[in-house]
Amino acid sequence: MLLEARNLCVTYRSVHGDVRAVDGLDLSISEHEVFGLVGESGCGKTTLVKALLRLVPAQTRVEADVLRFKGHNLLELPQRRFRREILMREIALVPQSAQNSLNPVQRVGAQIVEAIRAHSSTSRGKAHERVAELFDIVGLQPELMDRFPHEFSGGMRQRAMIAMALVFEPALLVMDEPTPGLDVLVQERLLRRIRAIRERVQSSILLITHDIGVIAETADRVGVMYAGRLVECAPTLPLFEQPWHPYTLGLKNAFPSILELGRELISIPGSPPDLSNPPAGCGFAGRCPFVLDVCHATRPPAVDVATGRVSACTRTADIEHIRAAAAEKVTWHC
Amino acid sequence: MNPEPLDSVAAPMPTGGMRRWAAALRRELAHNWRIIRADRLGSFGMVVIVFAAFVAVFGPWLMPHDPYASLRMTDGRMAVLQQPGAEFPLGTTNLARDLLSQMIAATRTTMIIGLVSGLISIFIGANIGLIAGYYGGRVDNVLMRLTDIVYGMPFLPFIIVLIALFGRSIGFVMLAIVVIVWRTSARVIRAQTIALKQRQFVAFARARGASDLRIIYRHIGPNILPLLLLYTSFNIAWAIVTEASASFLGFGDPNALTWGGILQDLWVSGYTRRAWWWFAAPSLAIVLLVSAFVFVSRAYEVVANPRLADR
Amino acid sequence: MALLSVEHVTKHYRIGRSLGAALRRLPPNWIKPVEDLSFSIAEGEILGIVGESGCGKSTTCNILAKLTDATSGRVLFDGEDVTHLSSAALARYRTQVQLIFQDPFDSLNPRLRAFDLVAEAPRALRLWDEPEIARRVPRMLAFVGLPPERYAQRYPHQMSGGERQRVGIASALVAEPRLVIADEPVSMLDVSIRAGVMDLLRDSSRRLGFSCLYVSHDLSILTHLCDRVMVMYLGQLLEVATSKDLVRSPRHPYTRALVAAVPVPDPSYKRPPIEIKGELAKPVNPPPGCRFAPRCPQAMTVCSTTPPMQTVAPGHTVACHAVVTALERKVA
Repeated sequence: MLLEARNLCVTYRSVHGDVRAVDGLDLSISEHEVFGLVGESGCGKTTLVKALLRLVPAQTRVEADVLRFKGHNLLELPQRRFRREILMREIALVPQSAQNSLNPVQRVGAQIVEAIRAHSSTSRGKAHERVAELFDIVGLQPELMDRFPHEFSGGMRQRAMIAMALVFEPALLVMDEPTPGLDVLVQERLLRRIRAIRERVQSSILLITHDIGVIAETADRVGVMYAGRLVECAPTLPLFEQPWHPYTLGLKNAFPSILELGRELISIPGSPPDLSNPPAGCGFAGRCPFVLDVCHATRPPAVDVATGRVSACTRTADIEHIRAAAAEKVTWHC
Repeated sequence: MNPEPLDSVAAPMPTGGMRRWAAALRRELAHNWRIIRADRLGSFGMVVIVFAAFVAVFGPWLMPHDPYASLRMTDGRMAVLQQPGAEFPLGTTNLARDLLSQMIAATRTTMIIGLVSGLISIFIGANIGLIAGYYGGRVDNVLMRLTDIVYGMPFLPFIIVLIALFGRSIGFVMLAIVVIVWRTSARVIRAQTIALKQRQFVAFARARGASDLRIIYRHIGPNILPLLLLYTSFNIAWAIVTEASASFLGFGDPNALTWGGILQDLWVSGYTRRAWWWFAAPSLAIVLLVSAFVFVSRAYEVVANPRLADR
Repeated sequence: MALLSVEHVTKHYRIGRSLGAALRRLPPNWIKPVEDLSFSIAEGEILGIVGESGCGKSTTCNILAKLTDATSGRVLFDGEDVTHLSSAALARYRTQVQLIFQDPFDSLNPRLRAFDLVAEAPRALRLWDEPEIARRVPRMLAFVGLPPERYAQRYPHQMSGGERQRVGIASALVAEPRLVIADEPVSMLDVSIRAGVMDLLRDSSRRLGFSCLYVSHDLSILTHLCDRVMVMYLGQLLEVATSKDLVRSPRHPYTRALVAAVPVPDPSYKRPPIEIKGELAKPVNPPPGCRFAPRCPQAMTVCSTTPPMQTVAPGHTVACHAVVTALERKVA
């Protein structure tokens, strides 16, 4: 188990009071796997990333029963050791809108070399070699090392950021929304490249996105996040073929697919709960068409519904009926 | 971000253009009141301004004596250069005039000149800024070259020439102030207009059929309001200081007493070093009132640039 | 007769050169976002435009919404030439053609309430007096799913992205236009909300009877929503077909690549191979002829001349030399 989190809660201060962006999340990522975390805006996925990398603003509380990474207890690790040993070396981040993270007045190769030499005592020559190697891994031509960011296209910049993250061969590569605003062809190429990278390096990848198409294509296992909690977790194919949680079913309904042109799209009415006042029961209860009174009262525990599959729903027993009903539009919009 | 409290749900929309304007104005004022109240210095400034306004309005009734009368003390002597005391709380001048009455009388003139020049200058500056910023091109060039020329005009020589040509009067003092003070607000508002012009809500308005004027005043205007109010307050502060300088140097209207005018009297009398009270009262008043307006404008800074609130 | 007819519309503009380039008398740089575009929209039809960044779809929207002018070509609305309009005619045009914006967070004036935002078109265009506006605006808000008692007095920052977009739609529909141009209206919304907004557009198009030009880079959305779809690349129109035909039998090499690259929420989907190479270019100083040729696996020498639009199947047109040559060979 590379990364294990149990009952992770992240609470940050805002003008309106405390906001519980992550509310009792259980997560485990194994070695050499691509874990896709899918969720819409406000579900807490970006906060989760920041919490893992200690990039949260001051006065944010990060609490958990367990938060272990490769044997280190991340909750107790002193900041200095975290900076020196974990950040960039064991866990590396390719941030959201990574394309804008490059310094526009410095050549791309030079920026990565600088990053290498800032974190280790590598000679300039060796650092240069490493950058060339990384460029090869991410599929960028070596001559691009001497170019400036504005000469790179969006997809290429994204790949440059991935190269920067791979510098120290981290055990866990975290990609926060690697494909928003990218054109379809560029996105496809990037995802293909991510799969290729995955073959060549030993890193696991935590891929965070709101696009279930990206997840379907790239991830080995998927976690569905809603209102700060993980509502379902399963290997990719079984998740898509046989979802267990009503939210997952709703997501699938809302996603158009060119393979199913005649299918009617069904949106999920309502909006996510306000996390400055987290609901006592299930976070999805306000929008779930299968809600019962007990759903509002208590949080449904994450239940093993099959090998390697977890779902946090009280009504797992009725799953056949739920799956059938979820396919009808009237169930959601009556 | 502070969410606006939702108005009562059942409030009907007032029909008729005038009534909508009035309702909108009332909302805007209430909103502004909240902004100023939220900032401590701003509230303090507001208190000072309200106090000065009160004195300006009710001056004639508040003055204990005629500001131009030479007064005698209880024992019959002329009250010349008296230090502040029971009879004359702010002291007297070399002509036995009561400084308190002078200050009160001057408050009205000072406030009027400051407010009027300040408001006129922001009116000119804001409109020039909006129009130059929105239309760009030749219009912008012409207006900005005009502003540049005015930037080049030094205040003192300008007012000297005005006075020499037309004599000393309140009107020309105000004219000189307006000409000097509108420059910065024009540039700043132009810059913000240019930035706002690119926003999608302007394209939205255009697509919905809004004319250029409508876009400038109905759509962009409200969005520059915080900046505008900031500069209004600032301009008034500048106007007051400028007027004080002009009057002190002797370019003010001899028939209209202002705080700067009182200082001028002091200077001319030659007693500057000895009559500290004569110096203190108008100087402190000027500093206090100008600071008050600046504090109020600072309160708007937070609204105009919300990121200042996060820190 | 078509409601809207676009004929050979082109948009070019010059951008500045550096001082060095000017001194060396290098030719100026031209950006050509739209090149010889011709298409038409029928009454009540929903036509989609798909393409990647720089393909000219947004420029086309802006030209049709009259936020910018075409450099050459004609636009006919209801048979009338509307390419250049006086301001009075422009006001009339705006009562017929409206635009829905992409960004719900930037396209609404933060200082105006929902009621005023929806009332903007009738007020600016002086369609109705205030009492009439006070009747129609709440009705429109209710129509788009925002009960007026709760939403009319709200400011944009008091509404979610989906709600803001509905306000945007209401503000476009209130003037009863005959053509609505939607520039990626759902791309900035959460997935679970998109379906509702898209359905709103489609249902209102049916009920109110307006045509819709829907622009997006997401082919999945377009094929779901639109009757016909057009494919654009770097300002040129490459292919037009019904949604079904476009997905089932794409002809143009670019369309084939697009269809192959679309993300599909099915892990067992085996993607057909995509053969195009290179990166997406910017529409700066493009070469003559087909602009896709530099990346096309089937490029031929004749591709340096622009291929004409030809019908390859009923209701299915393609502009590609390779496709036409292959067809001719089959016929021969």
